[in-house]
Amino acid sequence: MSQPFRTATHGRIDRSREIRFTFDRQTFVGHPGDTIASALLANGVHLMGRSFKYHRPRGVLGFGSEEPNALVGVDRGNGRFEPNQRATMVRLTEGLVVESQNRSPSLRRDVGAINDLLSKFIPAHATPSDAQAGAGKAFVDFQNDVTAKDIRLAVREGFQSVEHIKRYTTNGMATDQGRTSNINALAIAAQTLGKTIPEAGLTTFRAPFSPTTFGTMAGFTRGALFDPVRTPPLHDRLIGEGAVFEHAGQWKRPRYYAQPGETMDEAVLRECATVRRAAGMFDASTLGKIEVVGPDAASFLDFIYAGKPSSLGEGRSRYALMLREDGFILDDGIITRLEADRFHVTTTSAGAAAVLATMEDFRQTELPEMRVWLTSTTEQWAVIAVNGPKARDVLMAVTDDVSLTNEDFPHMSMRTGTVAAVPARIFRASFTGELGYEINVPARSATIVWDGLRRAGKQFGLGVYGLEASQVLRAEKGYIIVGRETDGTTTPDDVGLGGMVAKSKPDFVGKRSLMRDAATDPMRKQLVALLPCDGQPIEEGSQLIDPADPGHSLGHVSSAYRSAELGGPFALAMVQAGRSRIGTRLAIATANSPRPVELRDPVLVDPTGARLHG
Amino acid sequence: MRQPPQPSPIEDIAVLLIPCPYCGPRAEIEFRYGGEAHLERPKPDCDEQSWGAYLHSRHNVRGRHAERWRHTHGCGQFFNAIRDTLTDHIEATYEAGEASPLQGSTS
Repeated sequence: MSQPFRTATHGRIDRSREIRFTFDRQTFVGHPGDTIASALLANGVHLMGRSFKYHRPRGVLGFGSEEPNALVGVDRGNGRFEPNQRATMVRLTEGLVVESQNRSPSLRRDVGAINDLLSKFIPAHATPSDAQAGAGKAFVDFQNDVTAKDIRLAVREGFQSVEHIKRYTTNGMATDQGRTSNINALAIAAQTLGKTIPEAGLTTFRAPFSPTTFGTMAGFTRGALFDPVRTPPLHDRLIGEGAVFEHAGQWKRPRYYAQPGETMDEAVLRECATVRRAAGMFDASTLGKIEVVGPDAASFLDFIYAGKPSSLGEGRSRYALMLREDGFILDDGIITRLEADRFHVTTTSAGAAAVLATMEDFRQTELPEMRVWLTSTTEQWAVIAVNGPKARDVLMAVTDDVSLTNEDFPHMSMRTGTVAAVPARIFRASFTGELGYEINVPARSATIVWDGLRRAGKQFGLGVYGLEASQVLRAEKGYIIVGRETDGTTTPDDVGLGGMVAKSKPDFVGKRSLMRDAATDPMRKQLVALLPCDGQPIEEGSQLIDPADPGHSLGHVSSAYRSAELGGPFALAMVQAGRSRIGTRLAIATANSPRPVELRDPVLVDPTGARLHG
Repeated sequence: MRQPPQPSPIEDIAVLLIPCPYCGPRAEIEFRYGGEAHLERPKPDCDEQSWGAYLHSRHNVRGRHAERWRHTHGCGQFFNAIRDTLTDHIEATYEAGEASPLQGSTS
């Protein structure tokens, strides 16, 4: 394409591609990187509009945001018409519709230009030194058609301050904020007032002289960078396994692993069956991990947690609840005593930061005399949970320096050794109710261990399972999830974990609140399992009622799933005096008739713990 | 009260700075607010009223307020500050455990 007024090089213009746009319904061609002004100039178009008062012909005078002259209307369709855009500021885009302003019927034949013809026409840009400046119309502000005479008139009218002269004449009040006109106008005003220019002073520029996009203010905090995404060290392996991810705070975690043609429900049932019948691997690396070290580590944890970690032997673990001062559950996890003065504490994935902050608060402000140090090791350790009746066989195939027998390595204990030749802390713990190991290895070696387990597990039918299956399996076992079964008004006893509270300790966080009458009210909501009498799925959040007295809610469904093991749907619920109602029926309120459900002990699978300790 | 370390050049910049007693003046964005300072945690044998007050009752001061801050994105230390709730001016910061400079005054 040849454009006689286009330079062959220079500028940030991509001359290899073309953009079509229209100016007053005539189609022109420009390039990416053009402004409306540069594209029109390249096409030989100089007349771009008329001034709004006298309709004088206008072309490009300046450049960038200082342009006072070439103002156009820009139509982006669907009512997105913006008038008074500086042609030098609008980036050319494909299909842009540009219209000239202040002309009728057309830019070339404009009847309004008569305004100008009727007055004495001097196309001069008035400057203070113009000998002829007083002789006729000498324009100072091209955008608002303010003349030198207008400024002198303002002074004659009694305006002394430049700010008042500005407002009276509108000089410098257009979109260019007087970039071309102000100094000349102020000089004329100063001359008329008989002052020097510094005495007359300057007017104030108003923002935005050049509009700023919200993106500029937001900076990098946009799109993928709006919130950081955290991925565990095994992320690439999980993608390879076909993981469908979900957001868990900033973490991306596998919800389930899709096989071809499977729905999510089918995948979850398959994953659950794999864990209950053979073994499954689960990436638990996002679990919060805090190492608590020091001569007072045990007494510190006794104060922070509801239980009594100080009574743990070395190499032993215990489930632990962390309360708030109001006695309600804040977080849960497993505390393991590595050595006399060294503990490994896990937290929920979402609660890791809050737990560490709370611990630091108590350490610094309530217990400053204690010699104890807290270190987050969440990202240092990758955690692979291997759960299922074949878990021991799988682990044995990649470990030769740890005895995995029940006698040497019982449930809730920890051993150090190597897994797939990588140094590891192996915790025997389970969130599924099956025989389980949580293999902690340095994050950088995580993929080696994952691959080793995957290879070794083939002959045992080892699969992978995601967050959804993990939730089903733990619910079948009656294990709570903080934030699901608990809601910030839930005591340990409410979820059947009253035994985890060492009430005999002289003091601990939340102790005083648990002594209130309200905390031991037998009518509090308590954790139970539900089995629907009609065998149909239950919806989470459903309200439970007594069909004989349906006027008020007795509780709510906190978790509901379909179970491969139980052969149908089940749920966990928080129900008023729930434990005393086990074995009886209540109903789920629906829009139609209430659906009867049977209340059961929350542990539906392996109530004796034979599998867990197997 | 511990004297803050040497002023740093960033004090000249017109942003809201909080003088951490351990690190010196740092931008407000590095800190997290921690609520009213100098709350006495009662022993578990206290009565319901004093425990309830410890859990829930806070002063809502108009003027100089002793409050906890944590230099979360810095040294991680909790400390106390006297801040004017009307002007946001922080007139002093001091280590946790030190007596409040407001002691004896009404707030």
